[in-house]
Amino acid sequence: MWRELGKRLVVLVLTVAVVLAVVAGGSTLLQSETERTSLQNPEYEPDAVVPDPIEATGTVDPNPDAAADDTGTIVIDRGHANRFTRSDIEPLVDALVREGYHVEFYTDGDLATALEDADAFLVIDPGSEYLPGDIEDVRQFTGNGGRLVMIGEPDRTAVSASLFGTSIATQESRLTTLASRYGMSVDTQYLYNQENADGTFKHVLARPTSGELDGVEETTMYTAAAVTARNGDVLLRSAPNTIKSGSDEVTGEYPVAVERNNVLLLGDKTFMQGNRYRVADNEQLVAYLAEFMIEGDYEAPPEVGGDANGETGADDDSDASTPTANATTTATAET
Amino acid sequence: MASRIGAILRRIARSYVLFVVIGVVVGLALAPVAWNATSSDGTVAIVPVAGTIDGGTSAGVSAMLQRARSDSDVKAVVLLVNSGGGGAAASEELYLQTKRTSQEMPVITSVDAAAASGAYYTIAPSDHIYAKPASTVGSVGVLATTPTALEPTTVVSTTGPNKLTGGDEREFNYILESLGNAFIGAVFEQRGSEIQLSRSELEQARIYSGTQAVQNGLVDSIGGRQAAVEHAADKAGLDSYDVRVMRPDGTARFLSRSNYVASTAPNKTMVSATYLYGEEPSGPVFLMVPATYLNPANDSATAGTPPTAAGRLSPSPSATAASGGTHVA
Repeated sequence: MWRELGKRLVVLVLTVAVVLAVVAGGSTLLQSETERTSLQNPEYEPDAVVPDPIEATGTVDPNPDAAADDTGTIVIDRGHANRFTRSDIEPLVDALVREGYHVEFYTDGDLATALEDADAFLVIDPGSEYLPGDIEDVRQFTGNGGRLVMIGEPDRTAVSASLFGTSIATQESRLTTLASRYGMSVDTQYLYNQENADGTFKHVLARPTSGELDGVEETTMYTAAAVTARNGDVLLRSAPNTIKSGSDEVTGEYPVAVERNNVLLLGDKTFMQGNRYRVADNEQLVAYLAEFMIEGDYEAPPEVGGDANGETGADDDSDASTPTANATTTATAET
Repeated sequence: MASRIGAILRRIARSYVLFVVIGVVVGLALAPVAWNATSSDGTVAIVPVAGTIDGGTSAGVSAMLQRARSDSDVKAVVLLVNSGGGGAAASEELYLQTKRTSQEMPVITSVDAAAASGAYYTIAPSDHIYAKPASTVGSVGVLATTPTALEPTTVVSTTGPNKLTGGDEREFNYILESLGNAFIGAVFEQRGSEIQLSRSELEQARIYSGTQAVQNGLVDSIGGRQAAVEHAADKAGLDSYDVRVMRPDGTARFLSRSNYVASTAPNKTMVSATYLYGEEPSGPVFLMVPATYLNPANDSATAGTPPTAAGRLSPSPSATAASGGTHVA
């Protein structure tokens, strides 16, 4: 009897299974395993993703005008809380020294005295404004053949830590009073370019606009500001589609180096850093800077009367016009 | 009498008909279960992507997506995203997972509080993205702490000049740029026909509200989860469907309070930005998060976070983010 019952129980179980199978339908059993295909990722094609680095080769090789002195002195401003390190200026200093020039720093005291024997005066990223007396000294210097190079920077944010936490301070290039006397100014916003850059958007490329910069095709600047000069020549302009931070929808080719007579203004100090000056044609720009300074030829006005003349000349052309008549003709010829 | 009962019982025991009847009754009793399992055309699986994307999140979501792909019932996936991104590599893993899934079945995304940076990367391959007006999306980009310039000394010797830092700041920016290019390239590969922004505009890494994102094409339309589920079912051709909400294991970690508040994750916790880049970053940590998420101010919302997070010595991404984006030389 138990065997008979067992047979029937088997039938019962089979019946349940058949009913469930009919209800559920065969579809789930019939589904085939989908074939596994490997994922194609054309968007990660290395050639499209990896940016080409800009070559960093070359040496600074100034080739100053034959008329320039074989020796002389370049004074670098250290008296206005200037922010630069030795590494920032070393490639330039090296070029000057190789050309037989001395490099001196002005720290304090009478600026006119410090500039007496100089051919050029270099002002890098000052942290304090020039006072009227110093400005007059510089104008008197440039009015008599001395060369002035001003290097500004956009407003930078300095992060510093203290016991009370991180503090953030803005660093400004306080060139306004000095540069404005030459009809020049430095912008406060940094430039960036998302299409033409050395690695990242803030490392902008600048290209020469005139024939002044022989051998320069492209220079790189690592956080630059736009600069302007009334009636001046633009030496370098940022690559197309450069944007000023804060005005993200306006693109342009902003001047980053301008020259007017014997004054040169740059919107960036980083291109000549010890570890950057070989990138692109930066070394040529450093060489040009050295040449520009070497070609300066300041002649102190004679003590009697001459001083007055020099100052009158400076006053006459007042705010924006040219420091000397001689330079004016040069500028006209250039433009 | 007793023998007659015994005879009936024997006959019953011998009868097949009765057992078949019992079988049919039992089968029909179980039928609704079987019916429910198969009467719908398929299942829409909801996969939450909650919290900061790290290896754990990435592994969890990947596992859920793998399950969805291998389950023949699952005909469509809805990604329920509430994240401000996270680690770069983890975000890329999720992107690849979503991409693979979307090649096999419809993937529709519904954005909760945010799908920024790495989370947007994750959802870029979706067939359709829904966001709410208050959702934030975008921030397409990568950030990392630049390695400090170091040189091998008598204290630490190396076999090569770049062993300590991996390369100088300029080279490092090229690395970062290649990560950014991959990200942006992927977004355009997936949504190039929808996005109204130029490559440079997207590269600016702005965040957008849900409605703004609909305008610029980062998102397809305004809608919530229900819309996403219905859209997924519709796209998969399911007239009747089941919805299965998958649950990740573990705890969802949030850097952003708004994501934390919006999250429906069963286990969730707020973490400080140091969770991602550490107290003293020893090397580059590539992050795909909006820098505002790394703001030290967020840390105050975190229980048990050391207050020194804001007083870190190195210029951390958080400090630079707070300053408005500029960086010191």
